[in-house]
This record gives sequence, structure tokens and C-alpha cells, in this order.
Amino acid sequence: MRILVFLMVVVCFAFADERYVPGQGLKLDDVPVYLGGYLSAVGEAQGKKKQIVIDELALMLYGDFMRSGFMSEFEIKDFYTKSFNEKYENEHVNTKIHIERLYYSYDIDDESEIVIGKFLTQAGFWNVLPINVLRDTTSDPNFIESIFPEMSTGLEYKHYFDTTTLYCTLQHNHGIDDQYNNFSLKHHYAVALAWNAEDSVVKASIGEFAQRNDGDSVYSTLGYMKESSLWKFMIEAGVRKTDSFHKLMYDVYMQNLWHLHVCHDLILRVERFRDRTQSRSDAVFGYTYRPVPYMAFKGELDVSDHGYGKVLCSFSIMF
Amino acid sequence: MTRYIAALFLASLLHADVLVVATNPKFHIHHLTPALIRALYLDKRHTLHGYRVMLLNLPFNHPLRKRFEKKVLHKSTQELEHYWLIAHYRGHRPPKVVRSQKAAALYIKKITYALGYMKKSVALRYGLKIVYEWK
Repeated sequence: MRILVFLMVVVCFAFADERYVPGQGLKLDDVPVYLGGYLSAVGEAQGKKKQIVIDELALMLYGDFMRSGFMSEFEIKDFYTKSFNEKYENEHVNTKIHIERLYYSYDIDDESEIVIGKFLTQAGFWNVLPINVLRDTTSDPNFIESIFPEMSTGLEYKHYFDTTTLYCTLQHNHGIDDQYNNFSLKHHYAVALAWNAEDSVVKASIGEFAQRNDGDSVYSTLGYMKESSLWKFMIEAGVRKTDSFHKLMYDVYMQNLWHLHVCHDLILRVERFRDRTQSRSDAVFGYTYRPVPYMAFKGELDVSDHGYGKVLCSFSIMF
Repeated sequence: MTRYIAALFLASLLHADVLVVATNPKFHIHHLTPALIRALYLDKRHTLHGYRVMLLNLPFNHPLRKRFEKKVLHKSTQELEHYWLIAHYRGHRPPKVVRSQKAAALYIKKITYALGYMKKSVALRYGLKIVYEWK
């Protein structure tokens, strides 16, 4: 896998069009194929423990021609980790490449599209933009970890109406590189709807999935986002009922982002959730500086009603 | 007579300044709605009559681009930059940036499925098909 990805990069640069635009990838000469990627590094301090991680290092190769398109994304998660406290220091390098996305898409007509392969599950707002440079804060809400599968492998059908988009997900197989997913799936069926107004979106989804080492689950999510030139407000809630856990799991968060200036954002997020292991309330105070759209410097303070707190800072870039 | 000529001249100026979206006359579309134009430029739709559309944009600080973004897309330049970064992550391309309205017109004349905005006078001068006009 490593050799394949390395060869892909070499071939792409050998045939690259010289007109590179930062944040928009590199075009291969004379063919509608593009190479891009992203990188993220996070520093974390929690109590006496400190950690520096290059947590996202990924390459994307994608293209389209007439009605067809494809996307391939290979990521190394936690490529480099350095942990230290007063007594010890530990370094670790991980070179295992995972398949984050791999799919073929086809435009059936102007209003509908089919996607076959491994793709991000269309549930909520955060899950479809899971990388640091595109997110508002360094950390994700717990919402995307425990309610629904982050990725699905199978078939997705999309239909665009005037202001509404319908997504149908059908997975009746094991996933591609399934260890790199929050659930190892046997199957996953889901429907999502997104209603778009000019400055707001309502998104709802419902689904059912079965895990390889666990029982069946049904879930539902509902989210609302409204945006202006000065702020962006989001609220999402999700519930999940599973055979193997007697309580209903839930997660609800609310976030507001203030655009202090063109490049500077202030973020406040509060979240309440119950998953399999705990029930907790968290608050996140964040600041993001984007000197250019494809680069972000972020700082964040996370606090919890369980008494723990941590400070995160990160640098991320897309190319 | 002088007033008549002045009125004609003023009318031609107003006509020249009208913002339009234009395409190649061989492309079998005749009219686009503002909602559809927005959907294309905001990465929500990608094809027209089954053909993948090549969208054009003027340079970053071009006054006509600012006008198009404000009047039609209802987004600031920074919001759109972020939009197209997301599109790149999703495997879609931002509109192709061309140097001028003339360059856009020549590109559209060459590529059947290209679509771009420009002043009406430019579209007419190069024989393009106007598919929407903001009065």
C-alpha cells in the first residue's frame, strides 16, 4: 500500500501541470485529474501530560469526466506522536496508510447522482467535513463518534430538488478498511434530508446498522445551522438505541462562531452526551486564525463537568 | 435631435453594463434561473442536460466578480474561498479563473459546455448565447 501511494505521488508530480493554486490541488497535465491533500498537527496539554501529534497526513487523487467522477483519499492517522510529562518522554511514528475514501460517482441526470465505494456518511454537519482545516475547532464534538457510522461502504444515491437534497445509503457488506471507522459494520441503511434556505440548513437523518462484534443499532439525528456575515450558529441532536446497551445513547450540542474579523473567529460550543461508557457535559472555547483560506491556526480550551480540562492548539493546511 | 442622441447613448451605456450569464450557442440550454446559477457556482449542481458544466470566474479583485458574488451568489469573497476549499475536499473543482471578460468569452466560444458571467455588450460582441440577464 505504501509503495502504491508513493508511486502515485511520483507519477502525479511527473505529469503535473505547473499551474498550482494553493488549496486547490495540482492538476495533471491534459487530464481532468487532480492531486491534493492536507496536514494537521496538534499540541495538547492535559494536567501534567503533554502531547504533540501530527494527526492528519493525507493525499487525495480525484477527477471527473463527463458524467463520471472518482475520489481516492489515503491517510496516515497520528503519523508522529510525542508524549511527555515530568518523568518520561515517548515518541512514536506510525506509517500505516488507511483508505479514508474510495469511490466512483456517476451523474444519472441533472438532479441525481450515484456513488459506489467508501464514502463519508451523510449525517449531520461535522461528519461531512471531518478534517481539521475545514472544521471550526481543533476538536470534534463527541456527536460524530458514537451515534452513527462515520464512513459507509456501499452505494449512496443523491437526489437534488429545488431546496432539498435526499441521500440514501445502502451498505450490505463489510466496509473497505473497516478498522479505520468508528464501527466495524456488517450493514448500514440510512436516509438523510437537507433543506437549504439562503442562509440556513436543516438536516435530518435516520438509519440502522449492525456491527461485526456487537448488536444492531438504530439512530436518528436532527440539525440546524444558520449563518450570517458576522456569525454561524449550529445545533444538532442525535439518539441511538442499540441491542447491547440498555440505555438510550444521546448527544446534543450547540455552537456559535463569531467572525471577529475576516481572518479571526471566536467559537463557543456546549455539548451534553451519554454514550456506552459515560454521561458528560463539555464546553469548548476556541479561537481560529485563518491567514489564508487553506490554512488555520487554532487554540482551544476544553472543560468538562467531570472536572477535567485540556488545552489544544493546532496548525492545519490543505494543498 | 441632440436629446434623442443623448438618450440613445445613455441607453447603450445602461445596456452595456447589464450583467449576464452566457454560454456557447451550441450548448442546448436557453434559459437558467438565478437559483440554478447559484446552485452551479456553489457546488450544489454540476451538470446541465447531462453535460458537466465548466464554470468561469473573473480574477479575485475584478469589480464585475464582486458584483456577481454580491448580487447573484449572496456571498462574500472569503465565504466563497472557503466554499471552494470544501469543494476541493469533496473532489469538485472551483470555477476556472480567466483574466478578463474577453478571455471568458473566447473560452466559452471554444468550449461548448462553458458558462460565465460578463457584461451584456461583451456577450453580444462575441456572439454568445445569453441564458440569464439581470435587469
